[in-house]
Amino acid sequence: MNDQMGDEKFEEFLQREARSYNAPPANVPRDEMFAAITAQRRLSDVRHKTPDRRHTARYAWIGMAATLVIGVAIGKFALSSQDTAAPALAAAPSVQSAPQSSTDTTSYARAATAELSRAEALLTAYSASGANVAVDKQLSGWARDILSNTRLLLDSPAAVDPARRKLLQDLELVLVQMVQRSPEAGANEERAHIDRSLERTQVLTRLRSTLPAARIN
Amino acid sequence: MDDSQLVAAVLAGQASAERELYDRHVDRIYRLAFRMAGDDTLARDFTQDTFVRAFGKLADFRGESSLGTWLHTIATSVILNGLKKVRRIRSREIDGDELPEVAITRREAEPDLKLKLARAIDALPEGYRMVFVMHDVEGYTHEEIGSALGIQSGTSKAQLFRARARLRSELAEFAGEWAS
Repeated sequence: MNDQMGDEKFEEFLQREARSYNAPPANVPRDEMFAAITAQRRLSDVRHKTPDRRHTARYAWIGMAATLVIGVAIGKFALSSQDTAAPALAAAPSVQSAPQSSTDTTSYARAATAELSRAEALLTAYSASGANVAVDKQLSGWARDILSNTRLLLDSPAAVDPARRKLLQDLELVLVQMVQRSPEAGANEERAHIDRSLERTQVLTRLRSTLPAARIN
Repeated sequence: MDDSQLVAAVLAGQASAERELYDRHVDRIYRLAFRMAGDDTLARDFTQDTFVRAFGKLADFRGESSLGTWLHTIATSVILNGLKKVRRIRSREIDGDELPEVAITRREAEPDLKLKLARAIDALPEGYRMVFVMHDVEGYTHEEIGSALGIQSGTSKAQLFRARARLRSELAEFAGEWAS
């Protein structure tokens, strides 16, 4: 009997007090979450529609490897031609002894800098432009070009640096939003989504602070 | 617009229908996620993940249960798996230290009994905690809980009973206070 009363009292106590357990905020951040959901879905749509990034990257690697092999072959051929024409030069130090890896890293860093500069120009143009359908179309086309290169960079050694990788990922999200603008949602609403992403990720500011340092290198 | 009409409109690509579906269900899912996670960032992640998955799988929705129930099936799975991951990562960071069932930063400066109750709920096995939070904190019925977790409503009742018994045992030293 006492136990039963105890149970009832305890349940009353739980009903009274348990509601304060991990109490959520009164206002659910609906808009922010919906914007994030929309962006994630568009990103995944683009990933499904465009060829697999790993395959694209693989083709790029094959292309680069082929270029390197052809380059070495031409170099060897040129050297051997020089050997035949002027045997006295045979003892000269070999050009091939230069370290390969540092050259590669520099090339990727340069490619990344060039691409980030284009992205900075695009985002600056976007920020300066108002809601204008014709201009928006041009900017979307421009964003599409940069997006494919951004993805190649994400799969390349240029993205080994964690800060640059994060920047490229955030840039990718903004570019996808620019490419995937849906006319039925209305230009202003779409711009508001992009503006929110730009504000949240601070991509433009980060690009600007990254680029001067990268240009010095 | 009922559930099936709304689903059809979303599948037909109507952006406004997506938002309508989201607005109808997001509050309850976010609240549940927040109660389980005790953290806004995790609650947002779990809620967003639930809707991303739901929109992705909406064509599979057959209308055998209500849309809310179907969404809760996804949400509870996302939340429980997400919490497992979080706990795994935190236990790696702490490297072998004894962890409570859910490592949540506890609020400070609260009366002893409330704090003790919150800690006791945190320490429940995750399945019991989910049932307890859904029923006693958020007011779901046993039928709703059973459908969301893929268990019988009787099992939900049994788990709630065990969860309450554990809490009562943990709070035995405060019996004078809660009984008054």
